[in-house]
Amino acid sequence: MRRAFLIAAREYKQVTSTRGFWVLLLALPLALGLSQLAGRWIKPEATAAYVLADVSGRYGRALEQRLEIDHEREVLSDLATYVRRWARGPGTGALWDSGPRGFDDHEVEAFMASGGLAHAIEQISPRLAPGAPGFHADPPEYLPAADNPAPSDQGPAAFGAAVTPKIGEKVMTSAGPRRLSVAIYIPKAFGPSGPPVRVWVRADPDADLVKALRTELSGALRLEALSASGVAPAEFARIAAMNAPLSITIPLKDHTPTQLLERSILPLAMAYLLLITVMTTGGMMLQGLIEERSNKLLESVLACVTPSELMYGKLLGLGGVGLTTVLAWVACAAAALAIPGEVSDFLRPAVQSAAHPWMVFALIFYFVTGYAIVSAIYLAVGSLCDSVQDAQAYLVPVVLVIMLPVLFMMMSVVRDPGGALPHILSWIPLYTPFAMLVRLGGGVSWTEAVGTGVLLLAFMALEVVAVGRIFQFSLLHTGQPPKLGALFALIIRPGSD
Amino acid sequence: MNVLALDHVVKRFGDFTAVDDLSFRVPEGGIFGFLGGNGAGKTTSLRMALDIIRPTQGQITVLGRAPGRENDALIGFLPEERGLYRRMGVLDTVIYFGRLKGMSASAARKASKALIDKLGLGAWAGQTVDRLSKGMSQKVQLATALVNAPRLLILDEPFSGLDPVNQGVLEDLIRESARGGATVVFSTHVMQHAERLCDRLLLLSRGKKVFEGTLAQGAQVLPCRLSVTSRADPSGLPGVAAARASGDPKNGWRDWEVDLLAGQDPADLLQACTDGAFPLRRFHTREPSLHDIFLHLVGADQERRS
Repeated sequence: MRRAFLIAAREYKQVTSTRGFWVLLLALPLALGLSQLAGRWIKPEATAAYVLADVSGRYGRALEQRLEIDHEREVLSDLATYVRRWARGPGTGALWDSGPRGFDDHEVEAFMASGGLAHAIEQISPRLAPGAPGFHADPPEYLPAADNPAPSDQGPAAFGAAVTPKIGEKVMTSAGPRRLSVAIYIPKAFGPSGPPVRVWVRADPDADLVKALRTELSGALRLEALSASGVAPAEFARIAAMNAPLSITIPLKDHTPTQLLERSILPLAMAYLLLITVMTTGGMMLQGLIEERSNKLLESVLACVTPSELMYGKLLGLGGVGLTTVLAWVACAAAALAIPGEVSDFLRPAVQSAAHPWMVFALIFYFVTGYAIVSAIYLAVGSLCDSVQDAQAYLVPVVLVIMLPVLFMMMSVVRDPGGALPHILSWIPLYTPFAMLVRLGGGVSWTEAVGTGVLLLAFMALEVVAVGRIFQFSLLHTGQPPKLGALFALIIRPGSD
Repeated sequence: MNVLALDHVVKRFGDFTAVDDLSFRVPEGGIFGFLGGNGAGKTTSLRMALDIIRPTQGQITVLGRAPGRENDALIGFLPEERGLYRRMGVLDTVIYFGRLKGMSASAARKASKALIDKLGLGAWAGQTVDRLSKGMSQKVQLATALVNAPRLLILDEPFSGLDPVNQGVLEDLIRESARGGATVVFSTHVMQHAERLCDRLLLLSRGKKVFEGTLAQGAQVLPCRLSVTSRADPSGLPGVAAARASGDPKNGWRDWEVDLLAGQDPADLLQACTDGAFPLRRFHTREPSLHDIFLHLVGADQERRS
């Protein structure tokens, strides 16, 4: 094995001294870093400003309240999701302890009246699990402009003409300057038979905003109509406040879809990394082997080492390259975790949910075995070919056979975690590492893990023997690579040269 | 002791027999030439001795044991088709091969530095191989074979691709290695190198041995040739196989090319001339060259086979 390690060290040095390796190594951290920066510095504005000119003097306040309530509803719902994920111990019966659901207006108003988010956070903080991230409420989607930039007393046409140039410009709000996206004009005679409310928007109208406007104004018109019919306003308010009783139950399972997603992020990322690194470094190793063949180097090397030692050395060297890549990426991810931002917010729950010894073992096991299986195929192809052109003829079908089902499976598992394809591919050793990685988040039974693992290791052993035989035959072989049938014959009957 | 011995070795590649019942021995010390035309089986035989390929039949002994990696520390090998890792440093390359042959890191470094200096590559030690000229690359390759101070140095067509100056340098290195105690086995199809260097020779033709021995022994298998100047036709003299006149007679004297019968000693013919008062003005013995021996043996073998 000493010679295999020497070969591995040389292979490792050769690959890591190429520009391609450093591009591969730095691509992901660079992307993460840029995302972090983008999240911090070039984040799109979440809040837009609006102008409301209520000439009627009857609906403006109600509209503003409607937008505020809708925003607080979002906050309450997100808070309830957060509490279910991170709070420990018995609930207090507060709204946010009842799980995320469609909170009605009264519940939201009660939440606001009890002190809103600040009060809730005070209540929740002592119950948070260690390492729980802080709760960050999304900012309101709309805030009123501090000043009306257009005259409202000269009719809608004049208001529209004055406000149109301002749409898209920054105006002052309570949260600072924001882009003016909506202008609303409620005419004095607004009513069922009066002129309509006019709305100017920057782009396609926001369905939620239109809905809020319509709900609020329609409610006001109905109230006026009922009052005119003799219904007391208090009675109407009581009726309008009625809500159909609705009880929402979430069955207690091992994991909610959110938790499932969090647990799947790391294994899925690992599967993608495996695919990218093994294809890239496999290509580098293939080029190295072809160089050895075309440079007539192999005879010198084979006078000192056995073909098996050469093969193991190359596999070990390539494994080292893959491991270095992953370790570098893990280090970058750890650094990203330490820096507050979008990436750390995204990664932290994923890392915490996967921080289990068996999960870590499984991630490493499937990565290493997947790496070895695909690398060995690259090695066999490299040993058969004298040129990159020759290698392409073999590699194209190999890459397609590996990549297509894996990519298809990765896409399907996001839509349907329990789908049949990942289960089937788990039992085909070539795909086992990829399939098991993408399924890890959703949980895999012990019997399946052991069964597929044994099959995978057996396949690896057979593959090493087969590649060893191809290696033995082909390293000093010249001329055209053997046809597929001859190759199989060679694997089955190694002395058939 | 024999450093290399082959006994009835056969190597077949499918239907093609590359080495056919080959037996020979290389005694320790000296320089052993492995001669043959293209496809004679030289490289295949050397590869079997190095355990790069295995024989179909027969037995091979290298340094007293079967071919295998256990011998690596004692063997140096320069293949016919040469190449190096283009992006690897000169010193690193030699150290790497020294390490593959079982040397410790420090010993490999020390020996590599000394060898590189000796080959005149000291200034290039830190450069990558792709910056060297072809001649310098060949020297680096030679250094990879010599780094472990081998007991058995196997060189497969070592002179191919070298200019006359570097061929001379290599000849000196081979002699030096032999003087240092190494047994040198080298294959070639260029007879002049073998003639200058070899103590013993093996001639191969189509995988079969056609001759093994010293150059003097090789000369004996070829009938001796003479150049004589006489007044009469010498073809009737005892021991003469044939005589051909060359040039026109001058004052009654004529030049003749004389072939003796195989095994006939030229001194016996001279004695017969003296005793029989056969007038001679010139009697010049022409020793057969290795080229003549090779053509005689291999040509005859090929003729026989065809």
